[in-house]
Amino acid sequence: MKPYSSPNILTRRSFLSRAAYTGVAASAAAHTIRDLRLISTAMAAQGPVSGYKALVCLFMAGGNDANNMVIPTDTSTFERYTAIRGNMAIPLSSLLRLRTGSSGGSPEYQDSDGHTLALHPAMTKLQTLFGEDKLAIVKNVGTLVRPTTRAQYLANSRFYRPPQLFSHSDQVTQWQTSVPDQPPVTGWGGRVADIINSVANPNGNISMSVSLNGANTLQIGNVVSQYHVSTAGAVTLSGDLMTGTGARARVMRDILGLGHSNLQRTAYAKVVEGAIATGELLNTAIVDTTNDNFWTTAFPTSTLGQQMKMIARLIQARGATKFNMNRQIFYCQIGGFDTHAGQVQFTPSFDATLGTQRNLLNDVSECMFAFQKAMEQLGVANDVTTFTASDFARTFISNSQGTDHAWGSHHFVMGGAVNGGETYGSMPTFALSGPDDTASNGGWIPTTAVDQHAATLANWFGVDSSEMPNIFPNLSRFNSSNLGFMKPA
Amino acid sequence: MSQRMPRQRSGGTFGVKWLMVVGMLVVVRVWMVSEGGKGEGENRASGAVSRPVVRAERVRPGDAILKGYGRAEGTVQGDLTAMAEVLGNFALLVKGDDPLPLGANEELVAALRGKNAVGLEFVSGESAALNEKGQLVDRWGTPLFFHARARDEVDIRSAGPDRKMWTGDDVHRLHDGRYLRGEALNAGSLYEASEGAR
Repeated sequence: MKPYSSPNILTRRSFLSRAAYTGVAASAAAHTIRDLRLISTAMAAQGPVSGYKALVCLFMAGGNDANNMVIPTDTSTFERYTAIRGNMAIPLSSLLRLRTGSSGGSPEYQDSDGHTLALHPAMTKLQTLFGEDKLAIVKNVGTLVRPTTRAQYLANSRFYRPPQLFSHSDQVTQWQTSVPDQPPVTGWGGRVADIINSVANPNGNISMSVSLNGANTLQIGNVVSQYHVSTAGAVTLSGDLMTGTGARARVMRDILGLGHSNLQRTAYAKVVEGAIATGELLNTAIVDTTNDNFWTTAFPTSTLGQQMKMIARLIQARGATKFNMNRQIFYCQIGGFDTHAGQVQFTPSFDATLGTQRNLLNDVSECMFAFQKAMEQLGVANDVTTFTASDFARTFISNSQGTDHAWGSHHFVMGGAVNGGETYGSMPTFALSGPDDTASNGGWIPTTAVDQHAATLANWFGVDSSEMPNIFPNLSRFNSSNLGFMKPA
Repeated sequence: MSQRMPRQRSGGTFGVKWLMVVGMLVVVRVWMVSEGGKGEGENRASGAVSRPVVRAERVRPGDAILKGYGRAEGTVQGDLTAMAEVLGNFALLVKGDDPLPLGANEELVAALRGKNAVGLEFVSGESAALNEKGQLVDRWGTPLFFHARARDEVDIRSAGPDRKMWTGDDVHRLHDGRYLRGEALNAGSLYEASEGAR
C-alpha cells in the first residue's frame, strides 16, 4: 500500500532542501544588491569626462602564436629563436625589422633590454604604423593571479597558476574579465561602461558597448548591456512591410503600444519597442557611409575588415545629432589561430613565411591599418585606441606541424594617443626550462598582467584612479598600474 | 491555566553545561580515533591473538579504468575512451576549481600520480598508459596530445600507427565521444574544426 503523504507536511528533508534553495537565492540577491551598491557608489565618485574616446578590442580567437609575430633579431637571441623553434622559425631575411622612423633609412629600434625586433613578414602595414609612432607593442602579457616566477609556479602552482590555464574558453574569459582567480561575472569593459556611461553619455542613443561579433565576456556589465550589430548594421525587423511605415510595422507598433495591465508584458513591450527604435536609429545614422568610396583607404573584404568598417561607420555617427555618444567600447574578433597543424606551409613546398598564421596576421595588419586611416579621416585618430587580445600564446617549440597552447603573449596597441614606436614589458628568455618557461616547451610565464594592460587603457579612457580597484580588484598585486603606453589624457 | 514561563538562563551555569558537553564530545572523539588507529603492534603488545593480516593490493581507480589499455584485443578508440574516463573521474574526485592541469602531458601525469589538491594517487607508476618518461602514451608508445577546449571539454589525440602526430592516421577523440575525420583532422585551426564537429 502506498504510504500516505501529505503535501502540506514539511519533512525535515524537504525543509533542509528548501532552506538551502532559499539560502542560495538570498545569497545571490545579496551579491547583486552589493554589486549594484558598489556600482552606484563608483558612479557617484566618477568625475566628469570630456571629449570623445573609444576603445576597440580586436580579439584573435584560438590563441595567436605571438612568438612568430614579434621576433627579436639581435644575433644571440635570434640564434636561440632559430635553434628552439625549428621548422616554425621564420628566416631573418624575411622579417620586417622595426625602425624608429617611417623611412627605410631610419635607425633600427632597440628595446630597453637591447633587443632589436621585427614583425612577421605578413605585417607590413603594422611595420609602417610602428615607424609612424602609432603602434606600440606590449611584450609577454597574460593572465596572472599575482606576479609569478618559474620557481613559484613549480613549487606552488595552485597558488600562482590561473585556473584552467591552457584551456581556450577559460583563458578567453580570464583575458576579458581580468579577474582570473574568481568566477566570471562581468568583463572589465562592462565594468568600465557601468561606471562611466551615465557621466559620459547621459543622453546617448545607443548602448556604450557595441559588439560586432555577438556575445562576449569583455562587455558584460551589471548596468550597461552590450548591443550586437552585424557587419550590415543593426539586425532589425526585415522585409519591405516590416520597415518604416509598412503595414506590418504599423500593426507591430500598435500591438506593442497597447496598454497592458501585466507589468511583465509592459516591460517586454518596451524592450521590443526600444530594440526596434534603436535598430532603425542606428541604420539611419550610418547611411552616410554606406558607399565604400567614403573611405579613402579601403577596408579588406574579410570578415574582420567588414567588422572594423562597421565600427568606423558607427564612430562616424557618434555626434550629438545621431548617437550622441562621448565614450564607446567596441568589440570585434577574428578566429582561426589554434594552429596545432598547418601553422606554416608544408605543401606543395615548405615555407615558414606562409601558411595559416601568415594569412591571419596579414588580415589583422591590413584591417588595423585601414581602420587607423579611417580614424584619421574622421579626425578622431587621437581619440580611438585599438588593442589586440587572444586566448594565450603558443609553445615556443614546434610540434612538427604547428604549436600548442601556452601562456604569455605579445600584443599591439594602436592609435594617435598611443606612445607608439615603442615596446613595453620584457621579452622572455628563450630557453627551454629557463627562467620564463612553465615546463620545458617554451610556454612563457607572463611578466605583465592583463590587469596592468587593461588598467592602462581604462585610465586613458577617463576612469578615475579611485575607481580602478572596483574594476580591477587584483591590480594592487602588481608593481605598476600604468604601463605608460598611452599618452597622458 | 498554567503558563510556561520562559526559562531563566543563568549565564554562568549555561556556559559550564555547554563546556561540559563539548568536553565530552572531544573525549569521545579522541577515544574513537585512538581505537581506530590501533595497529598490529599494539594488538600484540596487549596480548591479543595475533592473526595474519591479509592486505588487498590497493588498485588505483585510474588503473582499474585503464585495465585493458593498449591490449592487442582492444582498439585505439577504446583506449581513448578509457583515458577520457580517467580524466573525468579524476576531476570528479579531486573537485575544486582547477582539478586537472591542462598543460603539458607531464603536468597531467603529475596530477594523476598524486600532485593534486587532495594528494590522490589516481594512476600508479606501473600503469600501461605511462612510458618511462612519465608521459601518457597511446598503444603505439607515442605521447598522447590533450586539447583543452574548456575545463570540462578535453579532446584526446593519438598519433596513430605511424607514430607521427598531425598526420592522416591520427585518431582524435572529441570530448563528447565523437571523432574528428577527414580534413577536420588536420585543419588550420583545431578549435574551429572541433567546434564545427559539434
